[in-house]
Amino acid sequence: MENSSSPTQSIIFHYLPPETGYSGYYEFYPTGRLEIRNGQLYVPLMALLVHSKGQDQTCLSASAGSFRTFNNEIKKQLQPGDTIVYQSKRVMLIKQ
Amino acid sequence: MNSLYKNSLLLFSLAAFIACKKNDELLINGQYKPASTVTIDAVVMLTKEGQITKTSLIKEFVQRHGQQDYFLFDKRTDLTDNNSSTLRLDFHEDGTVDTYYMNESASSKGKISQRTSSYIDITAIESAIMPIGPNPNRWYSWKILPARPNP
Repeated sequence: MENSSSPTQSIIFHYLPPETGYSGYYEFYPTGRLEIRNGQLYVPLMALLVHSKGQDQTCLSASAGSFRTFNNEIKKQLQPGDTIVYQSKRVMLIKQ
Repeated sequence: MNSLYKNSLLLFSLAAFIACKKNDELLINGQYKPASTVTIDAVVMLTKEGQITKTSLIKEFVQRHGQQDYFLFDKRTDLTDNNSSTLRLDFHEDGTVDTYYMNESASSKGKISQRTSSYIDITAIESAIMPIGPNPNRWYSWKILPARPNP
């Protein structure tokens, strides 16, 4: 569910010389989105509830946040017993 | 007649070009904050069997799991997400953006409580993921860069 988390991230791994004692380190580049509609700037918001019911256990998580958009590809990954509720919202940005 | 047709076509092309150009040009600079109201686009429930959009069914499901605070089912459109309401975006002329959250507690109201990133590369605005066309709505993405070293 990559696009439902906020912000999304691209990760670069840097190798370090062996004498440092470390194999490398990760560099994270979060990515956010703004929406422009009719010349107005908006921050996309999304509320999300994920419910998964298996034979022996049930999992539930819910969240809300800024710069979030729903990844429609998730539909293909749903299994019997999975339920996702999402609400797309947006808030206009006003120049101060 | 042929000339009239050509002129009309030219005029139409020019008008279309101006319209597209105008759509591309959105002057963004200075500090922005969220409005106090939210526009709700959709609430959808998905299962493997399909999708449900009937609000009463979704509301019942969400309430049954005690997660109704995350969703807006009434006509209320106030910004209930406190974290988002304190968001500030500061666009600079050099193409970078500061994004941070203001502290709303009484003791330190107006001070920055959480600077989530130092700079956003607004030049990445070129990587629009929505096509240019008759649809005036376009999405832009930006890339958050590491903090700049102090001069």
